[in-house]
Amino acid sequence: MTSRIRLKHLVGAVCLLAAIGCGDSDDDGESASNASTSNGTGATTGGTTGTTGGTTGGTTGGTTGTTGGTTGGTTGPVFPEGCDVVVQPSDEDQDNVQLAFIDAQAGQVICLDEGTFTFNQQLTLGTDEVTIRGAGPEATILDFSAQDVGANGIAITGDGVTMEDLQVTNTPGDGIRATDVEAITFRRVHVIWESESSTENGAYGLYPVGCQGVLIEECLVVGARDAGIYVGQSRDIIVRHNEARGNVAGIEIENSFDADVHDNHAHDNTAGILVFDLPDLDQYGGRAKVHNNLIEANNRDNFAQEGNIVAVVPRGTGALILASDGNELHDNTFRDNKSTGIAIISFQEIITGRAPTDPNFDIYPQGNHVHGNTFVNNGTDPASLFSIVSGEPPVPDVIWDGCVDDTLEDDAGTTNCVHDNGDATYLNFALCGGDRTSDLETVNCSYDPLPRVEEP
Amino acid sequence: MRGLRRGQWVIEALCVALMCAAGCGDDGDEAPDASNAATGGATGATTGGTTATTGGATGGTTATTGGTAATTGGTTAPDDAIPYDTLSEYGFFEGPLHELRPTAGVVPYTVAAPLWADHAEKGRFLKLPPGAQATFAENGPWEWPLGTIFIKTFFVSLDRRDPGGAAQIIETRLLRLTEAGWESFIYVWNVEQTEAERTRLGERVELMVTDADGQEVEQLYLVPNTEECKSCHEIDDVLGVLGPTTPQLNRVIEVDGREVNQLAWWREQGLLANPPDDPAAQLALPRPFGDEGTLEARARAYLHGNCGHCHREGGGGGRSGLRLVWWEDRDSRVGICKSPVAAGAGSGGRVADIVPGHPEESILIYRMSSADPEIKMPELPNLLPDEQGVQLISDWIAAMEPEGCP
Repeated sequence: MTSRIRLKHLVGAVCLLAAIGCGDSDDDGESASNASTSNGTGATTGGTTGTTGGTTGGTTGGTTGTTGGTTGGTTGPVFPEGCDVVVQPSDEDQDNVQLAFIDAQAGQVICLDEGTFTFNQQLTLGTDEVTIRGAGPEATILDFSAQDVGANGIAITGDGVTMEDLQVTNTPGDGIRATDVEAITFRRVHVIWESESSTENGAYGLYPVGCQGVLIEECLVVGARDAGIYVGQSRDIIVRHNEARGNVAGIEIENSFDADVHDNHAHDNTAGILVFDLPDLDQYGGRAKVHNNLIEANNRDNFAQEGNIVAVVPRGTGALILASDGNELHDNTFRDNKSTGIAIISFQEIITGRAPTDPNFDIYPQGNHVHGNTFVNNGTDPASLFSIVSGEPPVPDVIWDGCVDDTLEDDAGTTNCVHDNGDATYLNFALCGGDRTSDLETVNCSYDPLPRVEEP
Repeated sequence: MRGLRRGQWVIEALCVALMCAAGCGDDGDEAPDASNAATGGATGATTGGTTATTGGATGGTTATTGGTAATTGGTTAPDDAIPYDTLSEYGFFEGPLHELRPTAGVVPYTVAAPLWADHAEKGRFLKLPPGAQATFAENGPWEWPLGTIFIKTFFVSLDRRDPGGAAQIIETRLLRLTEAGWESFIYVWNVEQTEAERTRLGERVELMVTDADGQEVEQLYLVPNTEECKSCHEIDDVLGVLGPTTPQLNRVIEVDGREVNQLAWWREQGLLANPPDDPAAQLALPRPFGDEGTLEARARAYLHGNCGHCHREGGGGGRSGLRLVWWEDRDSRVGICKSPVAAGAGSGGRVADIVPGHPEESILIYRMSSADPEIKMPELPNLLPDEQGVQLISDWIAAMEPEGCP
């Protein structure tokens, strides 16, 4: 068996030489099929680093890579500009792409050519400062329908990784997860589950967790069973110009600090944008600046797995702040969300179904600042939770449970402020006692605007 | 789609050959000696039973010499040639490779709470550079001299009713300490069991085995790729060793027919720069399926060995807030009445990782019992649930009082 493997790769190498020797004329490697792919993987044109295969050597891939590298200099035109390595779709996508990830060196751009790549296992990328680039989110498709190993489509543990211009489809688990890294960028990446509201869909589309420096822009996530774009336990985050639809939560910022979430379009989810704080974690969160987003018609029935916090989010919710402090929601447009525009809720068992036992956890959402938003036609057909607290629809545009921390001597900086939202309606539904009120004067206060987050 | 690819091994025919080599019909033999060919050697290296392994003992004999002879060095080729293409080039073993008979300076060892690896048993060896010693630590990681290599060989029993019987050696994983830190290399064995070649991509290996009911079943065994090593071995962005720690190594082994504390034996062999005076008094994990230690201690030892490498601060699963290392003492961090975070389908509709008294309502049991890639734990690289482990953790949860969560 082993000898057969070797033979196969040897043949591959020979094919490459032949193809190149034959003079570059006719093809871009397509006719060489598998061979050109793996060889292409090894070959480098960038010139900043040597051949990837050479350094690791010893395996078939390395051998092939060296061959490619040696001749790579004469095959510049084969590689699109800016690509150090190009991988093309073949019958060996799993091996070819994973090998390219393993061989990747800091500073390199690994290009995945046009076409559909199919995988049966998770791809893992651990090298720092690598760019994975497709030919466009509609052109380069990474299809994980046949995946039977690994909880993510792609798992990233390298710092400074950029993924751009590609699509990931139908992962059984999460789409792309980046864990505990510095500076992760997703740009024009689509993560799509084709089955609508399916319980077979994965939980998270774009999933940075524990990261410092997150940039997610011009991406699209469709069909996530939990949150399309989910940023957890991270810091210094920009989420902009994305579209999230058909998910349970469109965008969720959880236990994270300093997120700048703007110019996104969240629609047709169960809820548009969530800003959550959860107990029993090492990092709590706050200071999400959510602005200039279009948050509309998030009325999809919740199809999350029970036991997860998003499973309790009522359909028809525009934005929901749960237990999180110091967030600013401004200049967004909330339209046609049938439960409510913005809900600000404390972490209470009666709502979340779980009683926090974490002694360091602050259940109250405090110091949140809602201003300058536009509300159109929200709250017209609320889910039961909202009709219970609000009574006859329409549910007001901004609702707060009114719960405050009685142990605080001075509420300065802890109350939530709501002002200058046009003709928006308001309700404090006094979940923790006291009087219900719709009087906006009770929340007519202001905080300094949160600073913008700078690009990593 | 996932048909047999590069890793296709037709084991049946091979099995016959191996069985014969190992002495067909010697099934009843409780202690195959290492002179038995093929599987005898491999199987011998298993931990199994209450004593540390036949093969371990055999290896021990050799290593006793080797330990003292360590300063003389071996026949190892220059370091800059590492990683070699093949396992044999390292010179770790003498005689037929599959016997895993260690050469001078290659020391067999075993751990108290091993990681479940789809019915694979493991032979573990350590090689320190000539004359070098390890620095023992009561708590936390030991210090290892540059050039240290850990050698772990995985072999799958072909008949699950007879774990000590004929086995197929699948892979050998190396961790080597260099100036740049630990590096990992993986070698996949050929069907003939004569050599193992380096792989970076890993492999899907299909085996035919006899299951607990005597049925011939296909088993897919996954050799991880080198990137995936990090998913377990990386803590705070740095690759490290997992098993060779004080609580894991501090156990009784059998060497040349006598029982001895493993740390004491290492001290005898001169492997430690600062050996503890009383090794047995050091932190020790009970063996999860042994007859010592409380149910809780054995359960926690199992969780440490199987989950704690990720579920710790700085580990891949640390962000879940669930901490399954031996020394974690906060109930909620061990999972008791802890709500899941970002579990997705992994919650299974259950509300807490552990619901005291109710394993059937506990997410831990749901995920440990699953083979679904989205749900199963650990995420990688095993494919099959550890039924014995599920039972142990279920028993522990069932015995917890008071029942239920607030």
